Amino acid sequence: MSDAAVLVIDDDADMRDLVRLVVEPTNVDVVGAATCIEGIAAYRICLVLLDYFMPGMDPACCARQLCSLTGSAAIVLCTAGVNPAARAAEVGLSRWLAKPFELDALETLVRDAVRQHTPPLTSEPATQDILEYPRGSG
Amino acid sequence: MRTRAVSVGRRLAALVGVQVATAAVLIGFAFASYGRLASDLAFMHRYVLARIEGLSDAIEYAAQLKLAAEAATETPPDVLLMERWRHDVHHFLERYRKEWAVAENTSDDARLFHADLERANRGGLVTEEVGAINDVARSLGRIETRLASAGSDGHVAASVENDARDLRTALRRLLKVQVAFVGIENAAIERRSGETYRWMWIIGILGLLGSLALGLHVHRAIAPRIRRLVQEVQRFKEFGVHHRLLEQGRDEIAILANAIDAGLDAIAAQERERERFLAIVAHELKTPMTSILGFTELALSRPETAEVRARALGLVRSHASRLGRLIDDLLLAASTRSGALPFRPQSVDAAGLTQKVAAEVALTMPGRRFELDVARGGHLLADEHLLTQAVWTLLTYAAAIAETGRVISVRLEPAAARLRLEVAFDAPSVPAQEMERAFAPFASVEYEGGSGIRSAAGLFLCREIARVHGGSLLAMNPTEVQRMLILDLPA
Repeated sequence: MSDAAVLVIDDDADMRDLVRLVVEPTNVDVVGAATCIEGIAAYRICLVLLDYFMPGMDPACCARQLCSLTGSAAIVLCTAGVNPAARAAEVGLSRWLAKPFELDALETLVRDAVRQHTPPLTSEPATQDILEYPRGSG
Repeated sequence: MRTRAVSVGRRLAALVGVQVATAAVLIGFAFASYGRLASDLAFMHRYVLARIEGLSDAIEYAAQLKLAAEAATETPPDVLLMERWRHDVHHFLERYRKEWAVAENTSDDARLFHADLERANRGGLVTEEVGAINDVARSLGRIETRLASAGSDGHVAASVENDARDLRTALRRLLKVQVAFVGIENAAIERRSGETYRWMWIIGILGLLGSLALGLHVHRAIAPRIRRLVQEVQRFKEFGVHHRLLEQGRDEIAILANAIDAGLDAIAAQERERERFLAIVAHELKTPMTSILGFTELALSRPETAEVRARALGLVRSHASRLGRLIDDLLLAASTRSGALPFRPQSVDAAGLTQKVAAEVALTMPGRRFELDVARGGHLLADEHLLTQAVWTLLTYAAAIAETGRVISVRLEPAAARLRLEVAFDAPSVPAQEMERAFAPFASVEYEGGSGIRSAAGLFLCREIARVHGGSLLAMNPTEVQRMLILDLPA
């Protein structure tokens, strides 16, 4: 098991599988989550790829919770929506990855995140980290 | 904002009313003044000037009478001629008393003249006139008596001299009274003309000020609001941003502003809907493209991995079908908006088409389950491409808003040279008006899906396709939770 993991929060299973297939050969674990609640329960996270359009999820709320729970992890908004920079700013994030993206860009993103990542002292998620999230526009 | 209840039409009518009333008063006043002036001049001519003319003749006769009396002491007098002069003066006196004497005249003109005399504090002139008339009458009486007894007696005729002098003196007094009357009447006419002149000025100025004030009021009530309307429309045209005008009241401008508000709101809402639709379309195009590009790139970089290659090909196939439908949807919607929906009818197997489309939708929406009852569906004359698109849109929309896990019932029902495609499903969380909204151009709906698509185009295109086939699309709510879409087409 690697010290670092990439969390992919996306309701598109193809997208989760794609990230897994690209990232796992680099010895970085990939945790896929179809919803934000699933994603919050993850741990050892160095990079979060957060989808913008997800049914029943407020991406801004999810991003805030992820920021407070994942510590030094880089959180990147990954969206196929128009104007991804504005979307990222809207949810309070400074980084984004526009879909469709080249696999090299994803690999570079993961490498940078792993390099800058500081592993937490504990490897288990705290009970209070499992939170309820308001339903948003998706 | 202040409520404006008075209509613009009424304001303008009031303005025109004030102007017309002013003009009418001025014209009426001018006619009345002209009539009064004409009456005054007629009075002057009929009474005062005619009296003076008569008086001049009478004075002349009295002078002739006096001269004849003076000459009678030396030559025998012509008594008949003297009697004629007396008679002429007497005739004048009778006429004067009957027609002209101010004290005895009761005509309207005479009453007005009396009023003028009183206003000028010259009422005593009437007494003077009466005294002079009486003196003239007495002198004439004495002359008549003396001439009647004179015969050819020159002495008696000569005694008429004093009476003739008295007569002439009395007539001159009467003339002086007449001259005074002329002066008073002239002053009265001048006074009345002056008053008329002043009143016409006052009415004219008041009318002008009233018109100006009302015009300014109308201008202030209309112009800034019209300017605001124009600015708002201009701003909307330039920036596409609409701030509601919030005109309250019931006047025409408020009605116009509210209509513009409603129109701009509708345009802005349509624009937002269109932008939202385009954003969703872009998202729906780019999401499968991410999987297609990612997996194909992965397959190319790892040619030895058969699993990745197979996954990539499978994704390309399923997403290409969905993307093709989406692009068709866009193109046909655009054609519909421009009124150029292509229609090439041919015999179409309705049951086969429905089964094929349902299978295709089920493939792209694995979380939805369709239950088909299409055995009774026959053939119908339709554009196969359009009908396929319509059924695909219908089923996709139904799948989008149907409650997860519930069956979507699809039934073909032939009825009297027509064919009905009924799509029934449970959607308790979707209000009835939401179904209505789906008929707007470029409407779209998002829903919770599994992998793949997460939105569906609205029913506008489907309804237009039904229309070009001579059919219709209805949305019904048979129960609180059940929704039904009915595509009715001629068979």
